[in-house]
Amino acid sequence: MDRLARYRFALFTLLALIPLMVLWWFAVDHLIAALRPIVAWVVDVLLPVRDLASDGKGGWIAQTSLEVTAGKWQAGALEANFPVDAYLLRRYLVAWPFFFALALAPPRAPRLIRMLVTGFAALVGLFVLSATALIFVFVAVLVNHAPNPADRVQLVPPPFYVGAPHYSDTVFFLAGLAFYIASYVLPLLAPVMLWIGLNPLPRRFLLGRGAAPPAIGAAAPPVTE
Amino acid sequence: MTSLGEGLIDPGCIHGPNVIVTTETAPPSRWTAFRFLVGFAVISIGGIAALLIEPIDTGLIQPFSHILASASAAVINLFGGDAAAQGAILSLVKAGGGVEIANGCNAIEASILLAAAILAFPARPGRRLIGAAVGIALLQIVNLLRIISLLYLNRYAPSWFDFFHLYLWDALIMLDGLLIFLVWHRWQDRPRAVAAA
Repeated sequence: MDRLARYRFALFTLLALIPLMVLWWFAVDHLIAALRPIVAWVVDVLLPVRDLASDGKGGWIAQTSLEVTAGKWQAGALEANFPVDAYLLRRYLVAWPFFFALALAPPRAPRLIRMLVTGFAALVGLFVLSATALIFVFVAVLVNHAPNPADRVQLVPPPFYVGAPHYSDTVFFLAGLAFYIASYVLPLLAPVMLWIGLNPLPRRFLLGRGAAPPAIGAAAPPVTE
Repeated sequence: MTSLGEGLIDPGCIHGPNVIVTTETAPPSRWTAFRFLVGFAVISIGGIAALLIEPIDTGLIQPFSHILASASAAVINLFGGDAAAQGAILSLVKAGGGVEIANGCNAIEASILLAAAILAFPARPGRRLIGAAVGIALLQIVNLLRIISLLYLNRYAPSWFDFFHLYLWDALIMLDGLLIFLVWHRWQDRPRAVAAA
């Protein structure tokens, strides 16, 4: 990738981000709603969360099967629920416009459509994992009734207790780490990793070693004094 | 891999006519790619995990956020603005309004990722260290612009604040990190004499 190609790549990516981010902003809540059943199924299998309901503002309400045993809770409700804010779920989708900007910028992959479809599938999987990590850390805070070090402001226990065996300190820390990586690292890293993983041209540029052999009849490689 | 940068070498230093400078590269060996990925994953996950340890958070990360707030205020005042910093809170004195630089807003995560990518890359150790240090410094300069822009957005266009804060600036910071890595990648691959020039 020579200097001109690099400038073209940077400029295209930056300019493509503008319409893609606008498109993303108008579509993101619909995407979150469309992906909710998949996440609901995964958390139902892996965690004590029965269902994810829409909160009407783009976010979800996680309905757990954890019984409230003590403390202040809604009258008549026996099982603990907690809100999943829309802004965190939107963050997990912020990788999408960035990935498509990178994928569409020159040098493009030889099989661009296949790359876009594969990238889309990977980003859907990533969203499901990230949302599951988010719900897991909320469940861990609820069960252990302790603030998680990943966010000592948001991840604090509610004013009630639930009856469930506590997670170990290691699992509690790992839940926070998974939440932190899902919220602050993967949205930034995933598009770049997918771009490098699915497009052989930047991969070859970044990790290839040594120039290709010259064509038959060409002069010897240049030598510096 | 570019063997020689275009326009970077004095033609008098190159022997032989009809020299071909090619940007074509050989495919990476699987071992090289694997080693890079493992190194990157270990450094970045280790760095991110360290952020969650309380003494590191209170002893390093929070003081760093305070420095960022002070530096942002200094930059604003240098250009005729009227800003003040108190701890991690940056505010406009006359116009009113302020922002707090919380964890996740200090570009530490992006800095760790950039440093991990550079340090895990198969290059000379000295060039890796220089790349990580300069790269983090450049990333933090862009982050200062981000913080200052968010301060003014919060005051004068609060409806746009969340969009820029939570989504757009994150993408721009990562694009910035990627571009820094690409520039460093080109620099580290030059012969020693050219790199020093």
